[in-house]
Amino acid sequence: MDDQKLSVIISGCVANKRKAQEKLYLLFYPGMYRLCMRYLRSDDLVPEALNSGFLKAFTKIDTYQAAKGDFDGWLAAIMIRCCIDLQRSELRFQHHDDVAETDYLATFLPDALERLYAADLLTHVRALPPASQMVFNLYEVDGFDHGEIASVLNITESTSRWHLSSAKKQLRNWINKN
Amino acid sequence: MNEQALLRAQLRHKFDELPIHGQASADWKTLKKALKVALPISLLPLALHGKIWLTKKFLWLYLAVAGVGGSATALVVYSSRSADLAPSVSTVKQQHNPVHSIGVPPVAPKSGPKIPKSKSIPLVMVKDTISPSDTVRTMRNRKSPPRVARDTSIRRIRKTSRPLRDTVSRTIRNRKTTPRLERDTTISRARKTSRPIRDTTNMPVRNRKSPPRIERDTAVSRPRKTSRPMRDTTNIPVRKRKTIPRLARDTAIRQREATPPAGN
Repeated sequence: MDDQKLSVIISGCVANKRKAQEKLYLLFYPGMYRLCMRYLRSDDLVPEALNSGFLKAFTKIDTYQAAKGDFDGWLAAIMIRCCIDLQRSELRFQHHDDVAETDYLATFLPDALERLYAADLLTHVRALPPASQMVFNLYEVDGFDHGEIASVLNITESTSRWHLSSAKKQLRNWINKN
Repeated sequence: MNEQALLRAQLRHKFDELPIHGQASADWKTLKKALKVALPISLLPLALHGKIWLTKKFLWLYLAVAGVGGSATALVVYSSRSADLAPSVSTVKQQHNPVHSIGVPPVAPKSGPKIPKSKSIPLVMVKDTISPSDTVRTMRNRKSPPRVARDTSIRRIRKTSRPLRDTVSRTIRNRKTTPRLERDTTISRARKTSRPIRDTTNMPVRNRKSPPRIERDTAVSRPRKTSRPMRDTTNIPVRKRKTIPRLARDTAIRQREATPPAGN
């Protein structure tokens, strides 16, 4: 969408206009829905996380500053936090200290990824342990570094590295088998 | 790092192919309900700064919503508009305004003087525009006394005990019992212990079943319980007499009849 049109919609949302809020919701609904599908372990929780995230976004929309980044990234960060809060009770981290970044291999080979269906990829990601799934999504898909992941999940960077390495090994084994 | 960025892009592209099972319109309705609570829309700015023309209908709505202060302002504006517009019908622009409601036909002017802005009008003129029926209507609408004047002490008392109702001033038709205040409770208390003595002396003869209780001689009734009174049979006619009157009976004869004569 055009940045100017988007800024007009955001201005309407800041003024608490329902039409503008609806337009923004429908505009970002597909992307945020898929984001929630990646982070949650079942589709039943997706609408709840989605609406919680949008409600928080509309409440705090006056704090968004276009100069600091895209609105998409700002909204995605809110959605990720909502998903983490929803899954927090299931997160069980295996705390490790002094884990170095040793696994430099890519998770997938480019050919393997091309041959995969999106639904199958999602199934494999959801089959990971909840903590590893969370770290994998944050690092590999959304581009967070281990320091940011540690602060969001309230763990150490070593623990974050360990869970990422574990997730990559498992995914590589499953995908290469297929 | 380029490989990592490339892998990240590929993963995102792959996840963008995921089918969405949810319905955006239905989820929006759910969120809308939550937004009504979390972020309610305020109507006051619309009323004050919006472009709402004060027609007769909206004037009464404004009176009800805004109160006396706002209504006075609205009356001033309305009267000024009607005062300005009435003499210069030909110069009125065709637009959605209260001119239609007061019967002045709109005319689209091509050229003409500008309509002057409404000035503040003294209260005297404002009163002239108020029809008498308006004030009467407001008076008739008053159903209950002003809240401030209500005396709540009576209501509080009722919770504990019912107050003594004043029935003296009621009309006679509605009075079912004697006024509570005047009732003599000594009689009611007395009835609980013993029945009062009814005065039957003035009752008609037909209805009198028994002699008045007061006159009854109880001395007569008591002896009946122990023995029957002696009947005087002296005056009974001979035919009915079966036996010799007891009084006339000669006990000597009986004794004579009882003992046989000596010598036989």
